[in-house]
Amino acid sequence: MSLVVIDDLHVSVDGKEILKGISIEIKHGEVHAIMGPNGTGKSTLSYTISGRNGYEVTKGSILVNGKNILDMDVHERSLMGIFHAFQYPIEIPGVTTSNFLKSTINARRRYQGLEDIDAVEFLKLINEKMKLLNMDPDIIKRPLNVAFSGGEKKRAEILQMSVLEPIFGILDETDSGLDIDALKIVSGGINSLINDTRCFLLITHYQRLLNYVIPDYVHVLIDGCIVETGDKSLPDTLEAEGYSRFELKA
Amino acid sequence: MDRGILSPLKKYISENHSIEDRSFTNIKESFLKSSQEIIINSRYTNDHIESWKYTSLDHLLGIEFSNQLCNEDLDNPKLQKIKDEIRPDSINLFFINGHFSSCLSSNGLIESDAFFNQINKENPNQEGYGCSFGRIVSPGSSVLSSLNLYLFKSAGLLKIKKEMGNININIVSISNAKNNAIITHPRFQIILEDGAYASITERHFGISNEVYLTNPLCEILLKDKAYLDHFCIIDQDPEASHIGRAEISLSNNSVYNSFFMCLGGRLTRLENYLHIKGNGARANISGLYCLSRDQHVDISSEVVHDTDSSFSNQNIRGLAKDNSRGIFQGKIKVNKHAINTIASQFHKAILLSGTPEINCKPELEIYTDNVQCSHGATTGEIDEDQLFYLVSRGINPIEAKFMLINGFFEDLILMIKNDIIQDNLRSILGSWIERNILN
Repeated sequence: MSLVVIDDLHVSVDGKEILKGISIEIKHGEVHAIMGPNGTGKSTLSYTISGRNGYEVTKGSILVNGKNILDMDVHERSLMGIFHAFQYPIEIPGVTTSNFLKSTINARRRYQGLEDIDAVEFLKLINEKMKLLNMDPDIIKRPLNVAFSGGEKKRAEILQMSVLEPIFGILDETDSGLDIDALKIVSGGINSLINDTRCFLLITHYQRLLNYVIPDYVHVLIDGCIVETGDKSLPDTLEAEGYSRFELKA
Repeated sequence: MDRGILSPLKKYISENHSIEDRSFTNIKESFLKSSQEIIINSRYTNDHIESWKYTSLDHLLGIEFSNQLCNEDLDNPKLQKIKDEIRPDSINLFFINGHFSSCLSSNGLIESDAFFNQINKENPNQEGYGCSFGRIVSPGSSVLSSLNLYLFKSAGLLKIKKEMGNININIVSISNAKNNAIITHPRFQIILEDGAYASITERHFGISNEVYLTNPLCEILLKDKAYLDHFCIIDQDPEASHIGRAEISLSNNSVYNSFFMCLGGRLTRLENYLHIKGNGARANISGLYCLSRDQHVDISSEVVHDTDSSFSNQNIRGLAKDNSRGIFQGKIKVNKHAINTIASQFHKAILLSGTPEINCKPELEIYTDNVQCSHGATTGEIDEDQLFYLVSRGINPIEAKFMLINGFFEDLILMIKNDIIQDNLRSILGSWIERNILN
């Protein structure tokens, strides 16, 4: 059975239908990408999966690991293994990155019936993951995302994902704001997590992330509908031709 | 019937005042007269009335208050707890109902007249003490200083010299009402001599869970190049009212950093009056308040710049839930000769569940050119984006709220340079949030 099954998903925001019947199945180990122009519902899909208020599912379902997540609270979705890397990570003044990471790890561990993480083990884990992402070790002493550069924010999202080890990662425009070196490092972080226990949904405007994280399937989202699904070669076509032909279809 | 600011205390004042009683203070008669105008004759100025616009003492109407006695109650568990919390290497001065308690206070330095003195009927004020009431606090300047000046029974005087090094002092002011409602008027005068350096923590709380009103006054003089870190923790009993004032005078190149925390009590009015009289003096006033039930906190501060190149910053944060009300009135006054002044004030508040209310009144009075003054105020609910972000990482919503509220105050606490005090304040704040927000 597929790890993620999104079936005929209709979502409205403030009474306006944004997603108009989306169906995607993602199997264990697969990476899917969603591409499309601005304002077609890509971020709506990611917020609906993570459970943000104001995104009303009017029809359809989302099953993750066989469970209907639409009945779950936001934190429960995270605890069962969903991770949403934000397009614009939120700044939290007064909460250090270190404290935040410890709280998220411990929330997960308690859910799994484990003891809170030991301080030494925590530092070892974080340092190891930060090294892979080429991050400044002092960043964990700073308030979460406050005064982080665009690249630091995106790396911090991947850092969180790598310590939480989700079964379903949604990466919402993780490539935006990254220079080419940072893109390679962040992509490396994502690639290191891909295995048969989890799957990913990448949301992006551009081909460039998909040069480093190779998708199994690429879906084109236009006006709330998936208008085409292809393989890893589809982004090349999109890059060459743009979205205009799909807009006519939609 | 007059409906003035102090009218609910009229009976108490009439039973307890008399000018002759004030002879031990050695206060100039003219000073007493100006206080008398306010206290006895209810002659309030427009400034007094405006500054009491949001706060009334009417909840005290009908309560029979008596005068304060020194009830030391040494076995009281709350008192013991505070004693245990206070660092033994500090100089600890305890005052019960405004009276100095020698058996609770530290020995050593305080036995030296050069450092500490108490003024009361048995130890009248003398020239040699260097204490001159009215020198720091201008008589009649405020209702609360007048009330205190007119009715205090005992005052603690501290004189800190440069040679003492960097000293830590705790001033613990306890109200202990036993079976009847009381009013106390603790008074402290702190003088930092040229180049002196000190850290002073005032703690105000009650140990009886009875109704009481406390009217403390703290007057502080920083002489040239003196440096003071001043902390004030107000955590009164649930039915208590605290109407206190601090007046601080800054001389050339002195530095005053203060941090206050208001948590308990039914009503708290905390007035800070900072008079910058010296060139290059710097002042940072920061603080926080947390309110629940029908608590009322009124933080009223006034910073007056009189001289060249001085700096002041006020940074206040508040949290209100249930039916509580928080008020911040912040005034910056830059007088004619205070060129190159930099002065700012910020107030941020978070409203939680219920029908809490925040009133914020910034005032800038600027009488010269070439100054930088700013003010800002925000009031809102917990940021939904921040909450969603934390919860989307598996943190349950209650814990996420707890983290955000702590984070809201953490910026202020981090400005304190002393780690021990930081941890102490975090622990007091954390337990308030746990009791009032999480449960």
